[in-house]
Amino acid sequence: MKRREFLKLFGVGVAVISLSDMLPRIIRGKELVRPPGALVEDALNAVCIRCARCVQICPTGAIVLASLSDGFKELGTPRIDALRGPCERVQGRCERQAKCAEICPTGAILQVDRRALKMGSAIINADRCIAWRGGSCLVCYEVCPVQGAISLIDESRPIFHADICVGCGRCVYACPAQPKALSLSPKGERRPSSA
Amino acid sequence: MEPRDTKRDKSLPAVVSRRTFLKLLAAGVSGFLAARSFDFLVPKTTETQTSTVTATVTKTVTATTTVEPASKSANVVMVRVVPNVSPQALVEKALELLGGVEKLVPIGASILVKPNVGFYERDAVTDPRITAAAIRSLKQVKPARIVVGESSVRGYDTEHALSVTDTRGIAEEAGAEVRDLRKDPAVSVSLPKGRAITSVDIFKTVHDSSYIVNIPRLKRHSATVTTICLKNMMGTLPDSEKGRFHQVNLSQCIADLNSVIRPNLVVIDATRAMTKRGPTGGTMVDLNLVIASLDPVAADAVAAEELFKAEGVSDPRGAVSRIEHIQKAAELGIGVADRSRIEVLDVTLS
Repeated sequence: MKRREFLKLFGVGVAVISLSDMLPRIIRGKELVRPPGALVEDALNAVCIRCARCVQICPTGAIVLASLSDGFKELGTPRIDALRGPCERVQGRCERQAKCAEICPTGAILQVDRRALKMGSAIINADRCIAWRGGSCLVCYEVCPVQGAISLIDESRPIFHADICVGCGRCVYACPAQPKALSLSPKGERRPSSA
Repeated sequence: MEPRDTKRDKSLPAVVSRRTFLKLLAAGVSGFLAARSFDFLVPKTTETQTSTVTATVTKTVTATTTVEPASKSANVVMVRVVPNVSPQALVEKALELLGGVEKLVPIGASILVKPNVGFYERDAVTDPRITAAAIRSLKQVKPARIVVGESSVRGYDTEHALSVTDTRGIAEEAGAEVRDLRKDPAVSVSLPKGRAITSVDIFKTVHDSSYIVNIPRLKRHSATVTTICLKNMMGTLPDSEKGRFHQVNLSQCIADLNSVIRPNLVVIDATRAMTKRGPTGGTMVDLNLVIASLDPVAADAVAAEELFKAEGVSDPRGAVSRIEHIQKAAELGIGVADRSRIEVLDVTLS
């Protein structure tokens, strides 16, 4: 192979790899929601050894590993998928302690006070919401473990208060609309920097 | 032969004479009527399947002293207590006033006990001691099986709810199996009287039971106003069905469900009731009351009225008449919602 061709191929290779890093971030409409007590993003991606113990221990199955489309730096790190289950740190099987933080061998996820928890916020798409479309549903309001995170207009339509919502995802999981009217965003998250 | 000009020629074509035409018409009508009467004599297989499923529930209803929904009145008993009376005595009294378990429950029945264990919070679920008291009473008729079954609200894990509320421990101690119904496969059941849905998937344990004892907690509900007997039956559904009810028409679907998956006996835990808001986050009040009946609609109507009275609502009966799923259930003939046709026996134990 001639040098010129080699250099061309090398250049194309570099371009492809760089684009593959940028494209997922461009394509990915929202940032990742992380387990409760996960370190800030750069620290998390550096400290996490991608062992997946947190995935195995999570009692609801909410934790999954970030895939290639989530980015190269993020690949294999834990994220919350509310469609698989809620995070029960605020209410449920992890009230005494977050099982993911407890089992994490490197401190990529730290044990944080559940009263100070903020993983993100639930976001409503009213065009898809059964209640906002005139139907009979308040499942999100019924299952929300945090008083005041969701309030009702005319006792029938839910509105979401991001400042109170802890981002546990139970409402997202339970929403019966197809497609879902709720999604979980990392908006407003609070995460520890490295200990 | 020239073609006829059909616009100008008004007579019948000469192919069939009037006599022949009338003979053919008479033969056709006779044949049609004969075929229809044959249908009545020979049932289609689909009808047989449907009636087999509904017979499982209907048969046990008529085997007891259940008041037929079409009858003029329904009986509801309310047993009030002062706080130091045991849940066992409370439930036993209620069942005695309804006629006694020996009269109500067939010997060797396969019983499903359906408490409300929809959430992790104790306030939001049936007091497990009430459930256990019912189990102990039911054991007297030597059932083939007693299963406490539940599938919690979507987003809540039933096993965790059963254990964190002590329902599993206390119910097993009383001698019942306890089952997370989400572990069951689903069975499709036809709802011939259904108005919003005409079939529903339920868990196999529910389908296989021959007697259902529904033990809800008396609570307010954000979407259905109250959640008592009728709404509590949603715990017999897989998550996808629970979701479908919300997508289609929640109140009508609850009524449709109860038209076939109808509890035989209801014992409402109103020892503590959730007022003002529900099914979680409401204000708990001690009503020290159990409401029991063979009619889930009547029991819901009476219990809802007690709840509104406790809240200080003006015109509690008017408020009950506006609870959609109760009214729709009455319309389907599941039970009686008209308070003037419900006989209430109100007893105080001390």
